[in-house]
Amino acid sequence: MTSEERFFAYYRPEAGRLYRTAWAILGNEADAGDALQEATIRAYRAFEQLKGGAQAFPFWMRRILVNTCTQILRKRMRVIPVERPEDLSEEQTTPEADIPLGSEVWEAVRTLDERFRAVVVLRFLNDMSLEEIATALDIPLGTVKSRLHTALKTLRSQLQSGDGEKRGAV
Amino acid sequence: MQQCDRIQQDLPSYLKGELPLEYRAGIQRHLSECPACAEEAAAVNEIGHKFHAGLSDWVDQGVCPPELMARIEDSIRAISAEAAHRHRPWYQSWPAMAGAVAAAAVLLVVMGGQLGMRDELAAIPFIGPVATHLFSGGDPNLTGFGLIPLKVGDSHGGIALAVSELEVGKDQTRIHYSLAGRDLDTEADAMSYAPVLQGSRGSITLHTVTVGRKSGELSIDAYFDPVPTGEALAFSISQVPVKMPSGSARRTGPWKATFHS
Repeated sequence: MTSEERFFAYYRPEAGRLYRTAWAILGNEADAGDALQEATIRAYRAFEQLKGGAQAFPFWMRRILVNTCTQILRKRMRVIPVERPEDLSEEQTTPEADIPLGSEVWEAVRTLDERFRAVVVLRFLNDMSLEEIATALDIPLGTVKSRLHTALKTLRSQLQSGDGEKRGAV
Repeated sequence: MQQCDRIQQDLPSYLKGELPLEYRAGIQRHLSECPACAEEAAAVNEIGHKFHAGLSDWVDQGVCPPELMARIEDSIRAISAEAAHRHRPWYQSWPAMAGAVAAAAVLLVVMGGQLGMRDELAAIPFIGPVATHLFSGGDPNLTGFGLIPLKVGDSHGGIALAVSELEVGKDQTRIHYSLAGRDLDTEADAMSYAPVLQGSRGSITLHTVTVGRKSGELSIDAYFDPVPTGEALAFSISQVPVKMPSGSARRTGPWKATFHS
C-alpha cells in the first residue's frame, strides 16, 4: 500500500466529520471546503511524521484542521474594526434550504455572529480551554470569557423560547 | 453585583476545572452563598453538556460533498506526482545527468589530448560530441544550469497543477510540472498540455514538451528559450484534454503559477 493509499484509508472515514467541524468553526460551506482542502494538504505533507497509525489519525487530522480554521478566522477578525457586544446575530441569515436537518443546537449556534460562534464551537465541540481559544484566535482571555458568557445567555434564551425564532438577543 | 458578573464569566472555566485552586475555592464559597450565581452555574453546566452533545451529533452526521472529496484527492495526487518526481533516482535527474555527461566529456578531452584520440572523440555516442565541443573551446554554459525548486500549485475544475522545478540555463529554460485529475485525459498529444510562459518582455518561446504518463496524472517537462535571472514569470495552461462519457473534450482553465527565475 502506498503512502497515498494509506493516507486515504485513514482519511475517508473521517472526511464527513472533518468537513462539518470546519463548517461549524467557519460558518459556511465554501470556506469549510477550502479549509479542509488546505488542512488535508498540510496533513499529507506531514503524514510520515504521524505516530500511532489509524488510531491517532482522527485526533491528529482534526488538530491540523482546527489550526487551519483558526488561522483563517484570525485573518478575518483582523478586519472587524469595532466589537459591539449587542451585535450578536449575523447580518444576513443563510437561506433556509442550507440548514442541515437534525440539530436544534447547530441551528441555534449558526445564527450567532462569527466572533461568538467561533468561541462556542471551539469550546464545546473541540473542547478547548478558554486560554487555548484566546491563543488560537489571538484575542485577550477576557474577550473570550465575555464572548462565551454573552453567547451562552443568547443561546439559552433561544433554546428556551422554543418558538423556532432563529435570531436571539440578550 | 460586580463580583457576581465576574464570577459568572468564569463559570465555564470553573466547571471544567481550569482555574487555579485558590480562585476555584473562592468561587465555590461564593456559589454556596449566592443563589443567583448557583442557579447560573447549574444552567451553564447543563447548556455546556447540551451543546457538546448536540454539536458532536451534528458533526458525526456529516458527509463530505463528493465534488470536494474529488478536489482534495486531485490535490493529493498532484503532490504525490511532484514528490515522485523529486525522489527519482539520481541518474534520471536532469542536472545530475548534465553534470555526469560534462565530467565524462572533460575526462575524454584530457585523454584525447594526451593520447592523440581527438578525431575519434566525436564518434563516441552521446558524450563524444560534448567532449569535442569542449575540446574546441566550446560553450562553457553547457553545465551552467541553476535549479530552483518551486512549490506552486493551482486547482481548477477538478484538475490540479503543481509546478515543482525551474531550471535556468544560457541555452534554455526547463520547467517541470504535474497535472492530475480524475477527468484528465492522459493519452493526448504532448503539446495538448503545453504551457505559456510570459516574462517582462512578453511571451517566451516554447520548444518542446515531454510527458510522463500515469493513470490520472502527468509528469511534464517544458523547454523554453532562456530567461534572464530574476525575471518575474507567469506560467499558465489555458486548456487541457478531458475524458467525457460522450468522447473527448477540453476543459478550460486557466491553471496559473507565478515565480521568479
